[in-house]
Amino acid sequence: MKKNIIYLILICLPLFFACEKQIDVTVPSSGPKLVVDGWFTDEPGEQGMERLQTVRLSMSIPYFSTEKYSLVKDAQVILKDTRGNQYNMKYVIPKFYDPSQGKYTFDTSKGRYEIRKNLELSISYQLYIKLADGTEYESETQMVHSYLQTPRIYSEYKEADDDRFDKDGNYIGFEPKYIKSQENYFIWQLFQINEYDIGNGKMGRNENSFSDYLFGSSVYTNLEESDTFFDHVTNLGEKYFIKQFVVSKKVYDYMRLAEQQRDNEGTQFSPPPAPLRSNIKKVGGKNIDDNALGLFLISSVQRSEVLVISKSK
Amino acid sequence: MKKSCDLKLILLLLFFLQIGVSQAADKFTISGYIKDASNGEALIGATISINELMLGTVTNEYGFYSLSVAPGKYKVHFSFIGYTTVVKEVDLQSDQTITIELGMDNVTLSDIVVTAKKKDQNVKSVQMSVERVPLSTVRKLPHFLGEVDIIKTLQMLPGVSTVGDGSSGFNVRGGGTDQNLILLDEAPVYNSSHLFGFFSVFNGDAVKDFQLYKGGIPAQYGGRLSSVLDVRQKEGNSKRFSGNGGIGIVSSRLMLEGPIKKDKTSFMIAGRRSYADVLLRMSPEMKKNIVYFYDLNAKINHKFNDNNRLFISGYMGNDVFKFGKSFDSHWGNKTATVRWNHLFNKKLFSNFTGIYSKFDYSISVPEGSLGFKWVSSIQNFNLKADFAYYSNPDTKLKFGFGSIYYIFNPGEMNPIKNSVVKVNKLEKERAFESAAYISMEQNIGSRLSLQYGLRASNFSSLGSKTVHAYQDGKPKEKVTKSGFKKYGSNELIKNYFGLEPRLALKYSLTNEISLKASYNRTRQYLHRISNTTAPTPLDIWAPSGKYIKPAKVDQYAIGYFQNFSNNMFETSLELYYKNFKDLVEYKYGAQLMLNPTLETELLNASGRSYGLELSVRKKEGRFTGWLAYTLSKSEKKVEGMYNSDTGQSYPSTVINHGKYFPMDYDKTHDLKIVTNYELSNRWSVSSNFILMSGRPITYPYGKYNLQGNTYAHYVNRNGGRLPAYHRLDISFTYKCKKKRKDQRWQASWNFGITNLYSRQNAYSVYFKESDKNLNNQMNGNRTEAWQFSIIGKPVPTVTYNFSF
Repeated sequence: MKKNIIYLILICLPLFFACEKQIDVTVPSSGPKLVVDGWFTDEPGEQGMERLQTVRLSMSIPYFSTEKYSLVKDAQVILKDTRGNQYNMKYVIPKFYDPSQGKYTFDTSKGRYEIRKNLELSISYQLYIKLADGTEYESETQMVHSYLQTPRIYSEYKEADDDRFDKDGNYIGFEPKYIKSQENYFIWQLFQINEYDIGNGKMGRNENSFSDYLFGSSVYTNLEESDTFFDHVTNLGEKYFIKQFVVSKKVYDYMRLAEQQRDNEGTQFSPPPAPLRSNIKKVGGKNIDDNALGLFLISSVQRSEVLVISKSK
Repeated sequence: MKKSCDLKLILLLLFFLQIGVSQAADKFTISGYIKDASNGEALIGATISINELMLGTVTNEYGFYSLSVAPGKYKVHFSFIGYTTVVKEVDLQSDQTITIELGMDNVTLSDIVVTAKKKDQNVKSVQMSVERVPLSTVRKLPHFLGEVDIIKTLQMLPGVSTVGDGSSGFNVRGGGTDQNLILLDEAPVYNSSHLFGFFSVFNGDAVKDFQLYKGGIPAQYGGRLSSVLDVRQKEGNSKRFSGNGGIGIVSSRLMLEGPIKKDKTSFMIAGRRSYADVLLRMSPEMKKNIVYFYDLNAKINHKFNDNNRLFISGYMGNDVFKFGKSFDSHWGNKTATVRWNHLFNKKLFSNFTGIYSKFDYSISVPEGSLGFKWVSSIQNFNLKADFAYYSNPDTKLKFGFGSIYYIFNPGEMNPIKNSVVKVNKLEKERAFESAAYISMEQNIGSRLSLQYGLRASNFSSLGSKTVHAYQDGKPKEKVTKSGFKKYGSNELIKNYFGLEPRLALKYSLTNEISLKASYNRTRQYLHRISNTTAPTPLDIWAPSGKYIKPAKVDQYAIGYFQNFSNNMFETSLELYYKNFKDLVEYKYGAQLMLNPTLETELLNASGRSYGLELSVRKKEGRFTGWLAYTLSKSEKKVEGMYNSDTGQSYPSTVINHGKYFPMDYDKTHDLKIVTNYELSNRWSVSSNFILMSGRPITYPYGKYNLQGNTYAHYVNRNGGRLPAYHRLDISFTYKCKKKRKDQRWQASWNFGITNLYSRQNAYSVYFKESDKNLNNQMNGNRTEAWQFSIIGKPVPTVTYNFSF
């Protein structure tokens, strides 16, 4: 072991002269800007109800601020479709179960605009927002794209290595199913299914997202898009499935760039950080800096089969 | 209108050339070579002068000279700094060939001079904006981990900078790293670095001489916008077998040279290799990991007779990274040059050259369902002929022509067995570049000297390639494609032709003061496609074509040059202005790798760069060194494509609202101080000090929450700046005592410390969410700025050097 450390020191000699520290930097500020966070899908609602679609409106804050993001509560938010229908969304403060109090309570920090609405395939939707001061915003119109293929999910035993897998174990991979004649953009996320005993011999079940997003398309073919393994090790008996979101090119580019920038360490070998171009335009805005931040996203969703982890080395 | 201007330019040039060449009648010519007596190496820039006529010339890059004067008896002085001057009486009644070998001075001045050129070259030469540092000086300077490095030495000169520690390449007067034409024995080197920029590919033991042109670039050079770095390898000792080398903590090197046939044929071979993998192999757990680089230089030359010499040289270098079974990568350059020097007569020197050069890289994941191998390369085959006609001591005509055939493999990804990765092969493109030039160096009276010339270049982009068409008036995007045309192998896609005028003039106010001015236009047909501040070895090169225009720059410079104390002190002040057109810029979030429609990710930019360079050098004595200060600004703008529907540019095609923003390598202030002091016959001490503005950086203007994640809100590119950079390096050199006077083995030790006072310069500043966050998505999560320093502590080094 000692020998190994010496070898490591020798090979990484320059790194031993490297150091990292937190610093104080004065950064500019553009003032608070409206942030739209709405991801609508064509998934069915729970228990036979229509799907609960939500939009959260908040304001951006200075980069080093530790204040809470302030929510926009008094806006008019309307979902429009290409058939001329308009659906008003209502501001709601949702209730959450608080185990410390043993009851459901309102969580004001999660206030959002809601509507129960199942999206229809091949119909386009747009979000309209009017703030209390009269400022109006409109989103890009997006269609719910039908897609009949689902990715094949599998698990594979991987040994730990430096750049991809942290530990030895089973990792979940998938095989995307592209239709070559179509231009489609995908976002994939791994979900874990948790089943628990709720008494009376009944089992409860919930589904939790278990990974960051992976991206792929039938158009781009870069290395980043070749990544078809989620980077969390799994355990025997656990159940997983993959959600495949089919989105517009603009949304895809936004999401991919946003994820890239979260990992960008600003080195000389990193691309320059880019302004994320929201698809929410200010009505009558002079330039793109007037637009809102964030995203209004419409997607169809396909689910892979459920995979039960059973293999081990 | 443009054609009319081009025609006028050509006629004007021909007029001047006719005046210059017509002055050559009724004279005889002394010509020959000047060499180092100890090893037979040609001396570049040695002086041949006839004091009674106040005439002189200097040797070219092959050590050749030619001087034509009226018949008579003269004392001809042959001199080179650090060598004993030879005076030869010549009764010139016919043309004469005189080849001289100069011996070193008893006092080994070469160890303490800063420039091995004519003592007053700074003031007397018409050329401005040229940098040259002898290898003896380079070896003494402090170097990171003891590796003698030409590129790092260049970065200590005025007008030359780098974006920071561990960056490959260098920036000249606001130019990008791909705007430097780097030549090794005239072969282009596409990537000049090892280990991502920590070390250069040039083994100091194999290099004879190097010269950097920052401006006033002579007409024989073309193809890059901002500079020419001309590196010449040693020819090999034609007198006796000898060698030198060194053992350092990163690598070891050995150079051997000697005669195959004395004074006729000689060779030089040099190798360098880093050790890390050898050490790793000794560890059972880590033996699967391999990290190393190596270089191999070789040269052979043969003198057929006084009129014909042949040189064959080559270089091969590679970086290898292998991390177990998970990742495997290598990249490297290969060059080969064959040159034939031929004297048609005493006045007409020629050089015919054949060149091959290649840069390639591969990345592979050798196993598993995601296994693949990805390769990419650029290679060129070049034939050229250069001529120098020495009509009289006041005029020298240079002309030549050449062609380059390029083959580009922009990327090819193949799955390995059982992999799900798709095959992705981009089409191999080709290009053919031809150029012809003519240039005259002319003295008009004793005070005014001119160098003027014209280069005409033609570039043809050739298939195979599928070229897409896009809707008129719309940005080039995948969704605006309107068709395509397939071009077969070597089928013409697009042709570009351009004239590149070059002009330099010098006016001597006194023997020690001169004023100089220069102008050059250069065109660049190859573009490194890289969306990062510093280039990476995995960048690709793309030719100009239907959608990528040739980049152009016009550079204007003026300078004041003065020497003091019998040329012991050399000073200069230069001002320059550069106007760039058709630079390649990138859309936000551009996807550059394995992209068959690269044009959809590129933007067209213009730029400007201007500055002031001050240089003060002490060239002789026990204390030598220089101070270089540069005040400059370099910026570019991308105005984008106008959308008549909105009255604004399409957002995806514009950066910073079409306003100027600083280039990634813009450094407002840049101060360097280099010193060397001979403490005794055995000990010397050297130091480097650098102080410069931090590089531009894009800072966030705010943050927001989306889907539970915090994102930074960016507005203006390069609106901020890293903290200022400063560093002091020091080194001591100790020459070991010889046991016997005639002992050939000479050894020395070099002890150095990089970053003596432990300055933590910012390699990068990045922003991230704090680990101390509360995990409440609607809290304004704590975000922090972090600085990473590559050389944040003093780095000691020791190197043992030897020669025999």
